[in-house]
Amino acid sequence: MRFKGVLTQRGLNELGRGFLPTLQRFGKTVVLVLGPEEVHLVSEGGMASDADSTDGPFVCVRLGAPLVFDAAPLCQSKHNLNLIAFEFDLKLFERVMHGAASNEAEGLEMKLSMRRVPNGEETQARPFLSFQQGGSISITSELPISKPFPQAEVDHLIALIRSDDVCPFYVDLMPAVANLNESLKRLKKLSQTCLVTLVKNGDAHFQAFRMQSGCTVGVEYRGLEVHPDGERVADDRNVEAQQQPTGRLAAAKDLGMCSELIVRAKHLTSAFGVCQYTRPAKLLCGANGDFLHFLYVYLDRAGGAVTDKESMAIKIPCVQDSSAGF
Amino acid sequence: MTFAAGQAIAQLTVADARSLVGALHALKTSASSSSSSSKPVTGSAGPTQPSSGGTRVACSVTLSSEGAHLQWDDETKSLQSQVMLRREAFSDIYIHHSVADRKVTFGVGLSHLADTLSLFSSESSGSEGMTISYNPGDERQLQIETRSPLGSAEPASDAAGEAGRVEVNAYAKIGVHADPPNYVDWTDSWQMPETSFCVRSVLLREAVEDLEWPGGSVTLSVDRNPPRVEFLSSGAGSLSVKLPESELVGLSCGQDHLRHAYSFKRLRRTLVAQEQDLEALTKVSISADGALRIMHMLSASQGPRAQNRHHGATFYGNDNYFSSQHAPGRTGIVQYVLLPLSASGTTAGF
Repeated sequence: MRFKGVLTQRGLNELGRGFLPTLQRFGKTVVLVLGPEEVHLVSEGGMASDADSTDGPFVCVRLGAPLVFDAAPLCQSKHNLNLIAFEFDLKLFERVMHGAASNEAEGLEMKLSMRRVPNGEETQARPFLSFQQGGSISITSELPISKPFPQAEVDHLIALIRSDDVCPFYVDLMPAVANLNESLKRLKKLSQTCLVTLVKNGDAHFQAFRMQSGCTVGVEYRGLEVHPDGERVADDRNVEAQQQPTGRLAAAKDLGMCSELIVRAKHLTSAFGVCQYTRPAKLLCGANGDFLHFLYVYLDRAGGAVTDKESMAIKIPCVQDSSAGF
Repeated sequence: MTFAAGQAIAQLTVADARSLVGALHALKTSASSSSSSSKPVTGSAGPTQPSSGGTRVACSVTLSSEGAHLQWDDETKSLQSQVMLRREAFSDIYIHHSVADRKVTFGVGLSHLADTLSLFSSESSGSEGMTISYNPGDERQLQIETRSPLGSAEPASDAAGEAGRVEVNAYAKIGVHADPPNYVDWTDSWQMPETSFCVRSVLLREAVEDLEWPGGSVTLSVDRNPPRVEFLSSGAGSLSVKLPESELVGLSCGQDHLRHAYSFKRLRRTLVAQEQDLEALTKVSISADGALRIMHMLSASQGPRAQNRHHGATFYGNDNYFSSQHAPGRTGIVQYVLLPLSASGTTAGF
């Protein structure tokens, strides 16, 4: 099992200032999946099959290898796709990244290594991800990592990662993100959970309920983009005729134009909050029966077109228990 | 009378929600302090009240073509509070033509209303206004809505054109009781002659804040000659705060000397909630039997209907609310009536 690659300045920036703080909002550790073509950072939350808790969001960052590494990285393993996966602590990774940034590291080399560390009386070989900076002074920082995942586990991860694009339609919430953050603060005062309703005409509703008092507070966003284009439904006359947001919502529900899901408000807050770090061009939000799917879409280096070399997906599981108050 | 489900029969729009939010801030403050008091009182809304609402104070809300009126009694039955908003406070009022007297009255949990409205208070800037509508249909609810475009303030990327079209509507639904609590307006039995004066609200608030004695009472003393208004408080020691004569406007005394004691806690509650507007005036009246009426004028922040200012001058028949020379241009009033402590130290109203 071998890995060696030289990080690009852009890769370093995007990891250190963008995705690192993003991932830290969702967990303490992250799984890195290295491959010859792509690099994935995965925070499993509750979506992984072996997790006991079922309520954490699943976060997956996908970065094309040319974006992160200077030349094609050396990546070899027993896995049939030459994939290597392991887990490490984000706090330690942050330290490495900050060290590299403060030294204006040119050509930071990242490689897998084994090192013997004292363990009681004897020494034990432990895996590390080491970062070496060239230049006049050479600095090496070593990040302790977990044992590389066995092949079956890697395959399971890849299956999770590839299960993209699973919602019938998506609504771009990016224009509303700043306002959503404010609105969620208010909704959270009412309830820990939030009902998200996406409508094919480009409306999105976020609602909180207080059961005892029969009180509902909601916020409606209108005129959002719908993806894919073919799923967009022009405003129905029945929906348009309604003067009030709740009336429009009810009419849209009658017409079967909605998908809706109850999620934890704090997860929503995190999903919207992390936009500040990576500044996506679009934040697509879709819902199926089990989770709310957020796709963060970025622009390419020139800032012109949507890139397929860089993306992030977050899946927020629905709240299962009936005590959620609905 | 039946109405189609989903149809609002009363709808009021506030162009600039500030004055409304100001009034409701007062409401919220006094509501939260009453809910913290020790004695829970079963709301008088009766069987329509949800099972959980036994300890909640219900307030009575009237929406009419003349404006909006909220009234509630403190749990101790010694303090009555009202918020009155004239039609000038609203940019639009719609009452369904089939409504008797063009007036709808219902009860709503005060803390629900206050909590919900406080969620909207931060929304008031930049929004296109707040609409309050009442729908007595199958759901029986009060709906509040603010609408604002998501403008160029967004740190949007190249999609500014898209962002310009996005519209945000925040809304809330509150379940209401069809039968409002049956409150009697204590000023209906107001004993003349009364003593009254106007003074800047901020001065009054500071005077009372200075008087704090633990668990104490405050005595209000008004003399005709020489004109003198003084708050006295005695506990471990004694303290008096005299309002400067130059600040008193329109002092009119019904008696040569007047002294009545009030609960400090409740008196403060009537004064602290007001907005920070330094020029706002408060009218203080004391009836012959010592009931204290405090009226805070809510200022008109903008007056699209200012030319109609005499239209609502007989607000619920209480023309004296607006007869003061300071009232024109005011869009509403927050009024408290506080009963005096009787000689034995308990509240007369019990």
